[in-house]
Amino acid sequence: MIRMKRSYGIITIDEDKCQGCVNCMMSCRTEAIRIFEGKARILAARCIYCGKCFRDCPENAITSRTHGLSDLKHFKYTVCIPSSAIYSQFPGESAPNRILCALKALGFDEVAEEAIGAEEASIVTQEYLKGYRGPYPLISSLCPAIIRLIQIRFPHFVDQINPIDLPAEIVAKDIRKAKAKELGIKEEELGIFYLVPCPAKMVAVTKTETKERSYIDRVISIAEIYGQLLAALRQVREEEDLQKASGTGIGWAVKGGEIRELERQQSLRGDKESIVVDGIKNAINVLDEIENGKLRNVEFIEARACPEGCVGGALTVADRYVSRGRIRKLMLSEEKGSAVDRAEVVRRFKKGYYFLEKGLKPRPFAGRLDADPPKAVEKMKVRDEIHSSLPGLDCGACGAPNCRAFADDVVQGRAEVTDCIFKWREGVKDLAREVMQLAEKRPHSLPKRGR
Amino acid sequence: MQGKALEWAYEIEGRDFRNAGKVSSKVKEILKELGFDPAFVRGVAIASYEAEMNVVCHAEKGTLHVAILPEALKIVVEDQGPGIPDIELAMQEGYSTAPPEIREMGFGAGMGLPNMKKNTDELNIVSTVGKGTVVEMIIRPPRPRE
Repeated sequence: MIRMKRSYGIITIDEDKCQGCVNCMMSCRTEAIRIFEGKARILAARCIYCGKCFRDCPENAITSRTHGLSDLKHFKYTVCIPSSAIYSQFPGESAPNRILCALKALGFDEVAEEAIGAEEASIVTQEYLKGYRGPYPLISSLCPAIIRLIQIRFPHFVDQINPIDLPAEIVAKDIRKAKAKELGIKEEELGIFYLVPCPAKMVAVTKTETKERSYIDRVISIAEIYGQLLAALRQVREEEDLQKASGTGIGWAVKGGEIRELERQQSLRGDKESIVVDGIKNAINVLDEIENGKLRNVEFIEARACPEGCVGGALTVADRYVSRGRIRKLMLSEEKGSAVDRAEVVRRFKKGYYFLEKGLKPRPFAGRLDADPPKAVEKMKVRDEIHSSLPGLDCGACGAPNCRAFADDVVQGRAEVTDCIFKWREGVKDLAREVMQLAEKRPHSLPKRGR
Repeated sequence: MQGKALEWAYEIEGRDFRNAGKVSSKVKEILKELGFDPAFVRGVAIASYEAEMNVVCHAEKGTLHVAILPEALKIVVEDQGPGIPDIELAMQEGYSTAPPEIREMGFGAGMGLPNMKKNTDELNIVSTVGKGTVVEMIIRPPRPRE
């Protein structure tokens, strides 16, 4: 049997598994999914690659393409940058260093922790805040799904995203600059792999908008190599000393980890508020209230698309709440001091080393009805008329997540009014009435009934 | 937008703090769907939010009318409430008649009318003490860049 898979960027839907149930469509916070001919389809312009649908699909039909360990052979020297979420994925005595050893045993020449990049990013943010005079709030740049949400739905806030690169890119940039030269190999022979907890981070690297080319060569999901890593963990005998990151950087894997360090370093102003928000719906609400001016005086927002933060990523394996607890333990233990040289980070920050090379661009028109304003107005009129004629049940049977989105689809030519089962039934009823009326008629050549 | 006016009206309940802001959110969503400039939308959102909050904080109830005119956006908020005795005084930053319990919630900082003024091209207020207030705001979008 040929397996039917349909791709939307890095997201794939296995159409043999997809039953066309409405679970993913109903749970998508950006209304990016429709059901068409019995299968889920993604409207790429609305998708923020959060991966929520991966989790909500009862058939496990939605996932993302990922590179694999087989790609290691394309490079002479390989480095793995594991997301800090990896430390939360294994039970018991799997301390960070042990996990890093197991990861290296999978075939990498070196491991370099994302958490080191987070520690640098935190110092950089502290420095940046010192000179920052607004506009407020400044928004954390860690979660690529949130960044895309802002580009699409809150384009006005794009300029308020902290202009500092992703921790993994910071780490990769350091390695790329020095390693090839040090080893005497060509740049393209050096393979930097990023082990990610979610599809959003994958896209942020493979389709980076903030530089010409990412410093990372391949992205592998935690889920993809979980089994192999688990087996390797059992075989670790002697541990090499690999862990350099402290709880400060590791803490970025859970919600609140980024702000906690800013608070500890007293980088936030006392006269303003800071917000930690997780989940896309909650983030939309907060951003909406700020946009309206209802929420004011907020200095910094740490928003994460996944509940509990990156440990809740769609491509992780362990339970997100247990994971949060494991990271919190590492965060609160002061055993390990930071290996990051603050003075050096500050020096490089002043040279502009950590900033995004290209600014993020707003994408304000993902939700607009038409590029031509008069047409948009016309479409809105028709849309509202259709909407008010619909039952308002938001049942999803038409293949759109709610009646308003369905009315949108009709106006945009993606659906027909009779796709609504209630409208269809009305149509059938009207037709039946007409048929009855017609059946009552007799040719005038015949005598009238009852005579 | 050539001569095709679009109009909506929304009811605002006085003292309904739980739902306060929903009307201006709706206005904002509509403007985004119509493809207006993001900075313009933000200005309208703030101005209409302030007007909505004035009704929630001070009045019994009110209505917010939005009209998309050929050259501008017009928002009219009328309420049945106490009215504003001295509009000039109310226009000053920091001046507020909001009762303490409303200020404790973080509202009524006396920035409402000044914020409306800042974010609109025209602001007209007609008020009758003991009866109510009509706030009319005209906001012009920037010329399209094409």
